[in-house]
Amino acid sequence: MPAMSGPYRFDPSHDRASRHHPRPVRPHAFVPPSPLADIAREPIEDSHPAIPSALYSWSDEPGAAHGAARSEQTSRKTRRDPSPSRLAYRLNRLWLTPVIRRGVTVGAPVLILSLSIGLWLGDESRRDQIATFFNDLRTGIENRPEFQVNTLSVDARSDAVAQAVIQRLSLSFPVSSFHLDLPALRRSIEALNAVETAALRIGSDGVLQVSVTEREPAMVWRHRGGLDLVDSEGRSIARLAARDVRADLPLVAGEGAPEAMAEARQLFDAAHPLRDRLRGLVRVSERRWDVVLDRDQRILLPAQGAVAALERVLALDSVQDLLARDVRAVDLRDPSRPTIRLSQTAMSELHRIRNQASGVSDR
Amino acid sequence: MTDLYQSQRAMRNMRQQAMQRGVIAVLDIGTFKVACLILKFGVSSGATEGSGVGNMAGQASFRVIGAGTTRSRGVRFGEIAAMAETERAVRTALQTAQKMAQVRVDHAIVCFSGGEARSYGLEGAVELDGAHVVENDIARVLAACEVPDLGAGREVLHAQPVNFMLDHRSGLSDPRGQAGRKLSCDMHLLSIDADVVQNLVHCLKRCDVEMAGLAASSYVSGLASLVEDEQELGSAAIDLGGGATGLSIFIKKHMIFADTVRLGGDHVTTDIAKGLQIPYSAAERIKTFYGGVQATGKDDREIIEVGGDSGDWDKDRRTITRSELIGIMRPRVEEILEEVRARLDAAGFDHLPSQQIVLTGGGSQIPGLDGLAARILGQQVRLGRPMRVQGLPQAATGPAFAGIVGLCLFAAQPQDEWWDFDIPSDRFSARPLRRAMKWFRDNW
Repeated sequence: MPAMSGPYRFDPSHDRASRHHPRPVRPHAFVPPSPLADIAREPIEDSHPAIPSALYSWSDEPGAAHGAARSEQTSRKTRRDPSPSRLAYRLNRLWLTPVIRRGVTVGAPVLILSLSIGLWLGDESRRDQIATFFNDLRTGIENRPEFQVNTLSVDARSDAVAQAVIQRLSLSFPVSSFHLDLPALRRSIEALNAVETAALRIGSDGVLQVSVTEREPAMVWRHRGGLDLVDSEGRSIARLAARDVRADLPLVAGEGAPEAMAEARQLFDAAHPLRDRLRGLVRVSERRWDVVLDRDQRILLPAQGAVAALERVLALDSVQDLLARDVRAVDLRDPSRPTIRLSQTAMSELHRIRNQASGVSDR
Repeated sequence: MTDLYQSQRAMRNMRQQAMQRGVIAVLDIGTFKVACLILKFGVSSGATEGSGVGNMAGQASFRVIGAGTTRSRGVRFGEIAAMAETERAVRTALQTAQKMAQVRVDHAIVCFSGGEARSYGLEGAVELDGAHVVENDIARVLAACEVPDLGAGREVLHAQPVNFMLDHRSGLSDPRGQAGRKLSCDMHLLSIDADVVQNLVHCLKRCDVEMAGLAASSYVSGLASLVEDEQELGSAAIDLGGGATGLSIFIKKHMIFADTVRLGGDHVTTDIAKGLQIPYSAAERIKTFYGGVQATGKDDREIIEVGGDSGDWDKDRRTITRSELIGIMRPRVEEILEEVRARLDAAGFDHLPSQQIVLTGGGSQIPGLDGLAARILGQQVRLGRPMRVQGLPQAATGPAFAGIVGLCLFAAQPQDEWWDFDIPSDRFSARPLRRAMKWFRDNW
């Protein structure tokens, strides 16, 4: 045994030196670190710097092959076996299985949460309680004074229309602005005949402001039921009790007259030279116009090119004073064959003059 | 034989499956440590073709994503001696690696040094059916190799075709498609004790991991520590492990011989513990810090405190010189190297054209070992470290990890083995339909 008989073992001076210095400078401190250091196992000091890496997990429990170390072990505090138990190992592997992992981290919380919420909501009275709570909250907010509408103000040109609008809305104040469906109200106002457009606005002072644009009456339409005011698009605005109320408006008559309102307007414009004598226009068979003048004179216009035909008659009139004569009707329905219908007296007078000219006796 | 063929094929299929899934563990069950690496495949396809870089033995195709090392327990001479202890050590290593990788592995490729590996050289020859060598001819010539009597309870661990001959032309690595009449092959067969393998399989099964491959650690440490030229020209890798020293001889990139000496670093430690009468762990520490095999004058003056925790003050304060420690270690290291020399001589290593010897394994870190080895084994000795693989932790790059790094390479690019070829169709009994068809065709 060479180690047992080393000279330093029995050297008294060395022994004494080591007694004087309980922690002598260790000789290996001058030796460069051995390349074997990185595989050193079982350092005697716990904090040995030679094992830098967490890769190593040497156990303190000696293996079955290394029973010699056991005596040293038992003198020290026994440490836990670093190897995982079978259960720990299996659980760790289970935890590393993606399906299980996702199930535990995502699936289980979602399941538990949904289950508990479902169970909690399973009680009818609790659901009602929640519903009541939210309803109360809602009505509480809706009924706040900031959202109350207290008055209605209608801007309209005529009082009648304003009254009609108020009647149509039939709101009972105060009402929350959340309960007012402004588009629907607007549609219902615009459904009135006299109203062209309406604008609704809730002001900050709790006023529902309705601005109404009324339709402009353009003509009076006489029909079987009576007299109507119609606008330029032919839509009827209101009933008229008598023609005299709106004598300023031109008169049209006949079925289908409102549908041809644009042509009627052109004809009235064209017939301006005859304005003193013009009584009105009559729509015949929803197809063509008759111009009715006083003295029961009529100008029968064709369905196509009515304005041109009227201008032609007017030209004849200006040259030959056609309409001032005793003519019952000027018939232009066939533009290639304009015809004049004379009155009975004019007809007999014409016969008489012709006979006189031809020398035929007066019967 | 067919049983083993089937089980090896099953392991090969399992390995391919695991590699398709992308994650596989490699496990080195040694006497000193149990190391585990988790490899992720498919991270990169490796060097592109035409870039001037080869496929680098396949190590570009994987990445190490987890590593765990723990002290081995219950293993002697590379064989399991206490199953429950070994199981705990394997569990520790696997769990550490799994925690690092954050992935669960179900398949492991294992290497071990025990089991008294024995090498056999086999040869077989067949006449070709057609004018060219086809796949089936290779299977036939491999099947024609005469298997020696392996002995009771022994199984084939590796059976690699190392050389093909077509008529008089030798040294073919892939004779397929070549014209000739007679195809013969040399095969290297490594037999192993079946019970040792059974114990390993059982141990892994108890850790809920399936064995997807098996390799001799002397072979895989040769794969990792020999450079390409050395593998090509002829060299021996000597893996100085804890309980056994493996040696493998490579030429033309094939292993042609492997053997193990059942002596290793543990015996050196035991010698120190016995000689100095100190605990095993203290002996291991003294060996790793102060060990060596070449004594110099300075070593006489270098005092080592033996230490100890026995309670006897005089005993715990003993000191020795480093030359005394060397005096304990050197005879044992010499004995190991002499034993290796004897095995190499028996294998006819001195007839190889190049006689490079590479020392690797944890024991190769003893200072001065290369000088001693040169004196015993021959002049061409170098210390080898495993090649680098992607993602390997720095702490696992030392020569002690040659085995496991080689196992990574083995997993990424396994060499063709006998069971990688199909059974020749004329012997194939598993397809009765085809045989029935053949019978009908022959007889009707």
